Amino acid sequence: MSETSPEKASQRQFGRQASCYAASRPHATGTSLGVMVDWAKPTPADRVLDVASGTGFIAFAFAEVAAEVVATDITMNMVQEARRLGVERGFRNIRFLQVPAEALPFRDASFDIATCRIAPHHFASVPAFLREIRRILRPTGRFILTDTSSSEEPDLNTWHQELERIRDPSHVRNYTPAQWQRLIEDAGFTLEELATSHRTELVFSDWVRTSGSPPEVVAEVHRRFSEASPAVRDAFEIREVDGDFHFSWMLVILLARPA
Amino acid sequence: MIDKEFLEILACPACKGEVRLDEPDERIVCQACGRRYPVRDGIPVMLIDEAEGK
Repeated sequence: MSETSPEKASQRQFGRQASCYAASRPHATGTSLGVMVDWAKPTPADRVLDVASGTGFIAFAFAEVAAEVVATDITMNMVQEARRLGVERGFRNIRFLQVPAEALPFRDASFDIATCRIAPHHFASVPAFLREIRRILRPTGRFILTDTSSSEEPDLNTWHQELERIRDPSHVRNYTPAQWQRLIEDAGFTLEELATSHRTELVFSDWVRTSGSPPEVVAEVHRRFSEASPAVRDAFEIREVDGDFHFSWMLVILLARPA
Repeated sequence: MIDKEFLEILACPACKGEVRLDEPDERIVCQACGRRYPVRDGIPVMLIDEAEGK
């Protein structure tokens, strides 16, 4: 992979910011985690693959129930941080590997459940990732994904994507619900559930701290929030609270099965 | 960590061939294409760029 590839950008970004993500409230809690477990219905017989685990929150939620969880991330610091937290919490049924989302090191049909939470917006190729998930899932398997999404309305979508890429160079794209539906079906899945009612609530000062953005980037992102149009403010629930900006991104949560 | 049961589901990320553990070197070796993947700090590094061989 080249030094400017999304994979390298993610390894740089998350290698540097691993402990910030471990402490980040939107990544640790958030109701999408509960929905993912509810929809996946893990059983004590299941083997689960979690892709782009980050610091392991979804892996831990599934490891409470499933026989075995394989937690993977492309960034070594993230894998080490997840393992440290997993050991701290007493899990003995989680394996940790450094793995890219688009080239999974597993045999065909070897997992009952695959999960991925708030990560595909960093992936170099979502179609390649989805083909790999389809390949490693058993025919009876299920795939549960959550990611930050965006508006189907082009102007709102552009404002959002530009902002994300300025703040974090490892950001590739927030796919809209319609784009997700297409991607999922093109990869050979049947889409069973798609929820767009969950949002991730963010606070500007925390958000730029988590990404470790340099001062000039923070200033530019701040300017864009200050100058946001009424339509943008409405779509992303932007409001000023005590001199800070509060806002939210739409999440897409989906359940798919091999078609 | 890398037991027999786990090696049965693990594959080469490049060619998806079967792999075995080369214990003395702490390498995961693809039986099909010969790529060798390092294990660092007990964590298998299954990145095609980091593989030796091929």
